[in-house]
Amino acid sequence: MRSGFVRDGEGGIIWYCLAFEVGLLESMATQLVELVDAPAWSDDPLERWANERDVAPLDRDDPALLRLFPEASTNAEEASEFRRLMEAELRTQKASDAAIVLAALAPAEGVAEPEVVIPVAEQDAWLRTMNAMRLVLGARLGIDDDKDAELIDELDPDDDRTPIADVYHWVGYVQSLLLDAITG
Amino acid sequence: MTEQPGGGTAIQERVSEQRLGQEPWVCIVWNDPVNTMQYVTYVFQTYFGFTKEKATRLMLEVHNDGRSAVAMGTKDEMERDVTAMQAYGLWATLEPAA
Repeated sequence: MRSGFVRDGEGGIIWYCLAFEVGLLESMATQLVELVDAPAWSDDPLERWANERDVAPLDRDDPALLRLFPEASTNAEEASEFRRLMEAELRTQKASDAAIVLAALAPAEGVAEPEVVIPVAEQDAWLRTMNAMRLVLGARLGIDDDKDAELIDELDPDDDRTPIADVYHWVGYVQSLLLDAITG
Repeated sequence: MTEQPGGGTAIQERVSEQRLGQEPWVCIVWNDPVNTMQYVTYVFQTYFGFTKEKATRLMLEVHNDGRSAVAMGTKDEMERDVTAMQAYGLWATLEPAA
């Protein structure tokens, strides 16, 4: 049985994975879409603008959201200006990246030996989404600096954070395999 | 003296706006403990079109010095680059070039 990320010969990649991996990524991608809570899309620019205006502001007390959408300047005025101009676009981008991953995973759902197709044009959406998952999990694990990251790598099996740390390490591993396949 | 509303002021504003618009800004990427060196290098290569060598050098600058100015341009251009970096999950900010 084949496993891992294999190039399909046309620049695309096929991920031969396990059923539980499909379920885990689906669950996390769904949570990510909920977390970024992007304004509803519309083909009508006026309606889109209204949706962007009406969407609830991000909860910047949530460390995960603060890491997904960091302040773009140490100058408060500049940071606020950037949020006004770019935040809706960033929320939409992150949600649409996660939606691409969910759409690719859907046909593999409930399949015993899943094969997930990742076309060239969708590879960055996959990398960005897995990276966003790592940032969210990293924030939940309280990883603020390199020392925290090392401690998380060496958690006691009985530690409450171990299950989350396992997922964090797994997403990092899968992301690095995908990067190897893209750049290798 | 006759007041000429608008006249001189308007031109002055336009000139200073132009000058402000031309002041260079930079896009800074900051070190963070979650993004991997492999991923950050890939992002610099893919988005900016840097060679692997240049992307690696900038990634190491971020890693070792805590930050690196990865792009320079108008404020609008840097807002665009910071947005792209943040879309990739990099911790990016913009500031006027020193």
